[in-house]
Amino acid sequence: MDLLQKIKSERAQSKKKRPFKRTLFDKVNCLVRTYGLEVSFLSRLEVPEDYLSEANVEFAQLRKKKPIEFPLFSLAAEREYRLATAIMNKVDNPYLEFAQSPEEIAISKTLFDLNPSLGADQLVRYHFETLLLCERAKKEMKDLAKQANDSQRRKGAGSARESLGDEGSLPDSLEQRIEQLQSFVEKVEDSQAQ
Amino acid sequence: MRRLIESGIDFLVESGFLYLPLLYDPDIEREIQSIPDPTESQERTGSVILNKGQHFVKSLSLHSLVANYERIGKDSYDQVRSAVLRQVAGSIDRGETSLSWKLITIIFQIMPYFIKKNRGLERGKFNKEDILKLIAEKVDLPPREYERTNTVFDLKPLQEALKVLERLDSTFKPPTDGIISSSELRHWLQKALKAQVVEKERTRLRNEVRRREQLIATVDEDMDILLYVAQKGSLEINGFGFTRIGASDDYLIYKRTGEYRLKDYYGRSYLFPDCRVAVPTFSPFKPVVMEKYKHPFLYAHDSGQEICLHGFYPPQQFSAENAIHLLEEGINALLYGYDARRRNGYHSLDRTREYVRTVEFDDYRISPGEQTSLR
Repeated sequence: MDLLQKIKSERAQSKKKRPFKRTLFDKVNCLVRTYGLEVSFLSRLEVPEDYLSEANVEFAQLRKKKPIEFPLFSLAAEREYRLATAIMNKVDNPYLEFAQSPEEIAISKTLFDLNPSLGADQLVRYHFETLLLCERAKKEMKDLAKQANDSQRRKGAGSARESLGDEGSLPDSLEQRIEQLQSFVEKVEDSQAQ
Repeated sequence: MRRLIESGIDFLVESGFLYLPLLYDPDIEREIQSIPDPTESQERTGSVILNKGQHFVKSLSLHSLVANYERIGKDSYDQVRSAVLRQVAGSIDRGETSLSWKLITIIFQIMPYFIKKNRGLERGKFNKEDILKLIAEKVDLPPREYERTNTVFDLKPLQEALKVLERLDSTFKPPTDGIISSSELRHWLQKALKAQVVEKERTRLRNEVRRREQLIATVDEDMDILLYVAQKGSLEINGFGFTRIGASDDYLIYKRTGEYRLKDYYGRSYLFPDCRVAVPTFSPFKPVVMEKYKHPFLYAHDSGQEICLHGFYPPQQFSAENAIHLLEEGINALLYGYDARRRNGYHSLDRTREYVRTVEFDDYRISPGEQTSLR
């Protein structure tokens, strides 16, 4: 590409319209104002949002996000601005921009630590609580499968896969639990695929 | 503006300007941080002031706010104005019950438009003296002295109101520099608006007195004619007239249409009798017919009906220009507005089968023989 063409293409690129994108501050500030968050909210962020007990997984419903209309741009009074920036500094992860409630702000870091590769479509569709439960269910399923394999190996009765169907099958409770977890994960993933 | 004043936030006043607490976003914060030496004392940085650790941004000139409040906060301004006027109303209200500015406007501005000179080569509008002469010719004026109190020639009520206004304080100082709460600002604004209203009213009344003095000097000897007309409340000259409504200072100004003819779809003529098209001097300013009358542009066969005018927006206030325009619109609609092809209006002159007829015009129809004789 000669110099003239290069200049032309650069100019064409710079003139091209780009879609307007709301900044992270606009979104976080909107949540601060909508939910009237106070400085005390920061202390809530100190404790990881680990309030979901594993026993609840089977009862968990697929929780959808509460729709919220973020403003195109946002100005805040000093107190609100300081709080919004403090939240952004404290919960510094790429999932924060998809949070649509204070609860999701709090969960976002835990979710990101658990699975940093969630796609935007997943993050936009489901409440972070559901996604967090889904990730935990996957992890638990892996652990349970591993646990079952280990116990079979200890018994020395062939491969784990073979033993599952015979007299060395998994205990009912364990099997039931794996089924529950599997069904929950499938529900989340099926609805994402739709 | 009202939302700002009732917001409950604290403002800053500096050199006659109102400063609002600065609103932030990351760009603004970067900009603020780039300002050199942001000391805790009031640091002047163009439009942003740092006061006790809080940034304020320059917004409105308080003087300009007061000067333009009539436009930006009309309701509040009107409240203040009516409160001031209540104080002087006692003096003003006593005047102008019979010979008012409305009547003066009708006689000297509207009447000359409709009564044109038409004597040989002498054409044109009447001036004030001509009008008074014409009235004197047409009206049998009984020889007596007329009372001038309660008329536009009685300047005493206005002068008394002016005196009351002179006593009211019309000065206001901008609030002292520093933090001001929204309630303090509201209080100050009320005072400033009151002072402004007092000043404006003074000017208005002074001009009014001067205008009336000029009128008195102009009509001088013929003043009795005006006073007689005012007492009578009605007058008609050459098809133009007015009549007072009850004991109020409002009038119906009218112009006679004379007889006129309209044609229907089949070319048949209809002779419409004379009627008075009138406009009131009060809202709604719409042309009406005074007599019991029927016409395609009138909904029923009744008196006092509004004339149907397509795409017409009535004016908001009484003035000579508006009254003239309204009268012309009304008369033109009756005489030239009906389109026989389109049969526009509420009714059509000829019978149609499309809707139930409520008003018929068969009695106005003239036979071909009569038509030729009328020509």
